[in-house]
Order: sequence, then C-alpha cells, then structure tokens
Amino acid sequence: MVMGAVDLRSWEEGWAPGMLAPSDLMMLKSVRSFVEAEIVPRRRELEEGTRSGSKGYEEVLARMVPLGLQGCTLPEERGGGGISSALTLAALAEELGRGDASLGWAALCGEVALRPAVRADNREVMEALAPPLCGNASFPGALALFEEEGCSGLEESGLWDLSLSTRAVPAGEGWELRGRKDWVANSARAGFFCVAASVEGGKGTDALGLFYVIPPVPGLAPAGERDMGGLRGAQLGDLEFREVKLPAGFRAAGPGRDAVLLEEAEALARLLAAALAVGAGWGGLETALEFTAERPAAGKPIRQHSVCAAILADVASSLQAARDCYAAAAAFLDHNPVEREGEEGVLPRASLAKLFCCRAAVEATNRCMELMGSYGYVSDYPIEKHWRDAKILQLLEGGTYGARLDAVRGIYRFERFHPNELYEEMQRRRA
Amino acid sequence: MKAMGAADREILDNRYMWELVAPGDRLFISMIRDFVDREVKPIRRQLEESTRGDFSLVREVQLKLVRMGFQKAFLPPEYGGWNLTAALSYCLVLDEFGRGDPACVAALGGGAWAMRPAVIAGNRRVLDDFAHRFCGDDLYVACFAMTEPSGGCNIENVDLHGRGIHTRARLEGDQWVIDGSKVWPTNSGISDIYCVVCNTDPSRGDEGIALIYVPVPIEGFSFGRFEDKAGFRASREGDFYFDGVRVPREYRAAGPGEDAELLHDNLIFARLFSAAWAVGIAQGAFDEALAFAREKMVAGRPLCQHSLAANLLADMAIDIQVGRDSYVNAAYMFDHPETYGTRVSPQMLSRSTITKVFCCDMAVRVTNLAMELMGEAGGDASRHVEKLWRDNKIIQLWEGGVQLGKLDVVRGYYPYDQFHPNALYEKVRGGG
Repeated sequence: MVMGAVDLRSWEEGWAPGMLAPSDLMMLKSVRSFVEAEIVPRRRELEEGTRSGSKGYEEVLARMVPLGLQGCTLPEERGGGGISSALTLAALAEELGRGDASLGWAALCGEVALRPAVRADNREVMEALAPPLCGNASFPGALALFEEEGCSGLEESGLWDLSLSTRAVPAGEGWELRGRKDWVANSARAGFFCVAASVEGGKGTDALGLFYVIPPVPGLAPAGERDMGGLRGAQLGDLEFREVKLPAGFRAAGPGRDAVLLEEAEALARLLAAALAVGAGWGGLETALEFTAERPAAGKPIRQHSVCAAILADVASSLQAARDCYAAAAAFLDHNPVEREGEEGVLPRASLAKLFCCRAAVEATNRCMELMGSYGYVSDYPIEKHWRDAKILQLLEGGTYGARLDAVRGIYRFERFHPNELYEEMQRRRA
Repeated sequence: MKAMGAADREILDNRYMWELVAPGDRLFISMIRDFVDREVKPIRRQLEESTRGDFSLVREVQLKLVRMGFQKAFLPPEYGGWNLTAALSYCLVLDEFGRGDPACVAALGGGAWAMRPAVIAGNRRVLDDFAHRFCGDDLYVACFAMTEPSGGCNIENVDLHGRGIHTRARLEGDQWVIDGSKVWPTNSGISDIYCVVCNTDPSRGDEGIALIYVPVPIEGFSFGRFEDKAGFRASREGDFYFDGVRVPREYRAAGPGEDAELLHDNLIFARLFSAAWAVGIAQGAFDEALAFAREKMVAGRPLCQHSLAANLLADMAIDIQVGRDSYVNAAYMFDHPETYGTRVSPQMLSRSTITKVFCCDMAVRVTNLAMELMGEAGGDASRHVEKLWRDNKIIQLWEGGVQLGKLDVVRGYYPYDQFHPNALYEKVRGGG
C-alpha cells in the first residue's frame, strides 16, 4: 500500500458520487477551491478583524455569492438553486468547516432559516426573499430561536406558550412581535430572520409561531454582539423586538404546522453544525499530521513514535465515523421529512449526529493540539481556531444536554416538565 | 447537617489539609485568596482585553502583588524575603490564582521559579547582585529559559542527558560566552534577568548542563516577537537569541552535575505547580457553572435541581477534589525529602508527573463540562468559563504535554529509554 491511500477528504472517491447529484458535486468542488484560495490564507486575519469591527467576513460572504450557496435551497421556479438535499448541504458545510467553521455557519444559517418557508410553500415570504437571495449581493439569514431568559430547549416543544418569552400578538391585519432573542447568528448583518415566538392565546404546540422579519424594520434592533470564545465570524448576537409589525403572510404556516417546521429546521441546523464540526476536526488533524511529520522528538519525527501514531489513528477513525454519522443522518432527513404534527421526526436523529460529531471534533482538536505542544496554542497554526470553533459549535443549537434530551425523545417519551411552586413563582416574576 | 451554602467560607478553608502548610505560609495563602476575590475576579475580563492593548491593567495587578510582598517572598530572609520556598505553598497560591485569572501571576510566579536554582544552590554572587531588585516596589521579572526551536521535550528528556540542549556556553577567562536561541519561555521579552539552560559540552552528558543567569539588556541579546496565544494571554512568551553574550563565571547556578540536578528539580517543581494551577482553573469553572445552574430555570426548576445537571456537577466536584488531593500529597512529599527520599529521582519525577497529567486532563474535562452545562452561555466571555477553558489548555500542553508526561510516569516503574540514535535522527537533526 502506498502512503496517502487514505484520502482524508475522501468524498470525491468515496461516498459522494454515489449519493449526490452531479451538479451538487460540482458545487462541492468549487467550494473546496474557494476555501483553499480565499479562506485558508485569510482566516486568521478575518477572525482578528472581528475584534476591531472590520468587515472582512462580510467581504468574503459577498465573494461567496457566485458560488451559488446563497439561496441554494430556494426552489428553482423561484430562482433558487433547488437543492433540497440535506446531505449536499452537510457536505458543503464540512468543506467550509475545514477552512473556517464560523464562516460556514454564517453562510449556511440562511438556508436553515429559509427552510420553513420553502417547506410550507409560503409564497409571500419566498417572493419577498427571492430577489435579494438570488441577487449579486450577500444576503445572509438566521433562525432566531434561543433565549437566555427562560427555557431554551426544544425538549419542551409541547410547552411553547410557556417556554418562549418572545410573543406574537395579532395586530390589525398582521402581527406584532415583542421580546428578545439571544445568540442569533449574523445578528448585525442578516438580511432576514426566521423568528420563533409564542402566539398569544395558543397552547402547547399551537402556541408556536415562526415569523419572517426582513430588516430594516421599525422596532427591530440589534442588542449587542456576544464576545464568544470561538465561531466569531458567525457574529452571534442578540436581537430586540419592540412592537415589530409584520404582514399576516409572514407567518411560515400556522398553528401546529409551525412547530413541525421548526423541528425540521432545527434538525437541519444541528446537522450542519455537526458537519461543520467534522470539517474543523479534519482541519485540525491535517495540521497535526503536517506538524508531527516535520518535528523531531528523541531522534525521529513525532509521528513516527508509536504513541503519536495511535493518537492519530484514534482521531482519524472517530472523525471518519463522525462523517459517516452525519451523512447517514442527512440521508435520513432527506427521506423522512416530518409531515405530521405529533410524530417524532427527524430531530432526534439529527441531535444524535450532532452530539457524536461535535464530541468527535472537540476530542480531535484537543488531541491534535496535545501532539503539537505549545505550538498548538498559537495563532501561527490554524488548530487553536478549529479547537475553539468546534467547542462553540458543540454548545450551539441545544448544546450537549438539550440535544441529548431531544435525542432520547426518539427512543422513549421523556417528560421533563412538572409544574411546581418554583415554576409558578417564575411565571409570576415574568408577568 | 448544616444547610448548603451556609458555610461557604468553611468549605473553602477545608478544601485541603491545611495542617500540612506552615502557619506563615497559610497566612500568605489566605491573603492571596482575598486578593484574587477582591482585585482579580471583578476585572478578569478587562484583564484579558488589556492583553490586546498595552497590558497596563495586567501590570497594575502585578504591581499590587509586588507591594504585597509577592515578588520577594521566595527569597531567603537575609536577602529580604520570606523564605516561601515550599512547593506546596507555591502550589496553593497558584490554585487560588487559577480561580481568577491564572496568567496574571505568571510574571511573578515565573520569576520565583527562574530564581529558584540560585536560591537552592545558595549562589551568593547571583543573590548579592540581584536579590535586592526583587525587594523593591517595582516589577522585576525573571525568566526560566529552557525550550529551544529544535524541541522542548528534548531538553526535558532525562535520557538525552543534555544532548537536546543546543544553546552553548563556553568559558573565556572569567566569563561565560553564550550562543543560541530559546523559544516559549514564560516572561520572555518582559524579563530583567534570564536563567538560561545551556550546554557547555555535549560530550559530557549531564555534566555539560549549565544554568547561567543573564541580566538584560546586555550586548548580544535580542528578542524576536511575542506569541499570539489562544489564552493565558496575561503571561507573555516569545523567542530570543544569544549572540556571544558574556556574563561573569559566577552567574552559573552551581557547577557540573549540580546544575543538571537543579534543572530536573525545577522541572519536577513545575509539574507540581502546573497541576495546582489547573486545579484552580477547574475550580473557577466549577464555581461559575454552579452559580449558573442555581439561577438558571429550566422546565420549571433551577437547572441544578435536574438529576442530569446534579450528576455533572458531582462529576466535576469529584474530579477537582481528587486532583487537589493528588497535588497536595505530591508537593508535600517533594518538600520533605528527609521522609520521602531525594527530590530528583525517577520516582519523584513520576509522582509529580502523575499529578500533572491527571490534573491537566481533569481540568480539560471539567472546563469542557462546565461549558456544556451552560450551553451557549458557556461560550460567552461574560460568563468567564470560556476564558478559563482556553487558559487551561496551555498548561496541559506545556512542559512537553501529556504524552511526554506519560513517558516520565513510567520511568518511575521501569527504565524507559526512548532515544536510539539512528540514520533518521541524524537526517532530521541535520535539518533542524
């Protein structure tokens, strides 16, 4: 066997040709070239720029538009790319994650936010979004779901009226949104948000509404960017909604249906986070492989020591398993869309994949750093950034514990909520 | 049983067996604890911001420590110090700093470490010339300069007997002339004096190892650039070069053979304090996660009242306590050679490294868990845990990292000689 027989990025010769459409493969190839040419040389400077308010990431997002990523999930008849395959999106995410996961998250969040409108075939929203999405300028989007105050997990999805403090109230012909969302991606640069809110008067799943907000709109104000330990290019931040008025048609679908759509969008978000993390993990492994090939310890290159070889083997096998895991979950998502309310759908499956992939990536970047000693810790090598990005990806979208509870819901009925005095007090305080 | 939370102070005091610590040291440690709570924790986020600017806030904190006597504490009383030389006390101090901002103390702690060989050897010339500088009201920083571009582990590797040290020192009359370069030492670029690990003659093995003190500025010394690190930013590292630097012959810590002992002594000492630092960081992350879990409501109850979160918090508490017990025991043994045998031995190297590897891996685990328990808030700088998580990682990586550490662990059980000269080695060495 020759060295290099195992290609670390093996989709070309591996699973991808059998599972992806030829046009999707083309896009994967062009994204890979873009990552090599435009992102890898600049990622350090891009991240540093987030501390000084530079618009580096915005520039790169604009340069990415010709790749066709933006709006790629919008149906073709609306002018979009017509990609409906979660597997394609996940493979794209892995490629981007290998370069800069934070940029990948920034670029792909819009497709997640768009998903409910596409699935619901909401003409009004798609007509409003199609021109900028398919235009020549960058038009990122984001799903605005999580709230720091109150509960933030989908594990209580039957309790949307209680767990979301962002409220939607019927006002005239349309809706009025009030509340606050935290850790929203692309918070200050997004062209559109899909906002989860509890609808006045609704109970349980009927209370969940998904609303499209297209800034600038009166009452919507960015409420500060979060100073995150990683994933800085994703611009996680907070949003404040003060009596934001929306047309009636900007609700994704309607009572009951919105909750199903949200679960599906969230499943896609978790899947993409999983794939981005796998990409970051591979990026880390590649760095460690190069470093340990050159650097000597006790008379030979580090990777010629058996302990190092064993660690590299562990890392490579867990990352390969992680890739297989997200790919299988994506295929599951592509073939089992949630259609009916009350059915356990794709979220548990996507949550399993996210848990596994993020853990693999966090472990991989940690172990690879350990092989590099202090060199793993400085910005001269990309690994410390991959390490930080992977960790934040693990914490996003339900984190590790919310996602665990979502995962277990695919196995048995797990109920966390038991009304009690403390809860009543919390409700009183909130009122 | 007392109600939970009623006796936080008591819990803090009873985290370790304080009767193992000399009464004077105990007082100092409790001063440091108050200092960390009062002067460090409230501004730790700003401290890190200051490292992206001019470091002025970091320096302010360090100056406060100088005025508390921290900088001179390690010196013998006849030189104005407090004789605070016990490894256990040093460890407990760093454990306290770990909770707040671990790196802000490096300029002073690293100084004590660098001067330690001269203090142990009782090198009068070095102490006469420099001790008073540590006793003033200004910062006087020292650096233990060990790692070289060709690899830190080769220097620490006891089986290489100095062959990995390429910084050369040769005697010319009454002066040492030093040529070579160093990378990574803590406090490089900001130090006033360097303790340089050199080689006088590679053919002499351990006898060739020399620790030589170099005050700067001095002709032939130049500094490269500071490293841009993912964390631990209040501490500064970089690369520097010696090009025919000359210092008096008496600036060598002790002499042939003795210097090798002093080097290994210092390395074992560093394993111990690294462990304690990591324990402190884990403690800090646990404290934040616990506060978060008490206040955050999930599904109608505080997060800490969910069995899943309670289990996680218990895992963290178990890990931290076992880690602390481990370094306290090892440091006490190190401090008492009359009972536990010579400080520089494969057994003590192994014992201290067991502690370092366990505590660093443990702190990586705990800081990761703390972040995960807090979800997105765990990655948010305003909650401090992500910083502790970043800061901690370097402790695991430095001094050769965990993998090399494990080889030192087995050296306490059987001779492990990883060095076998071969063609590949010659080739690589020629290139590096």
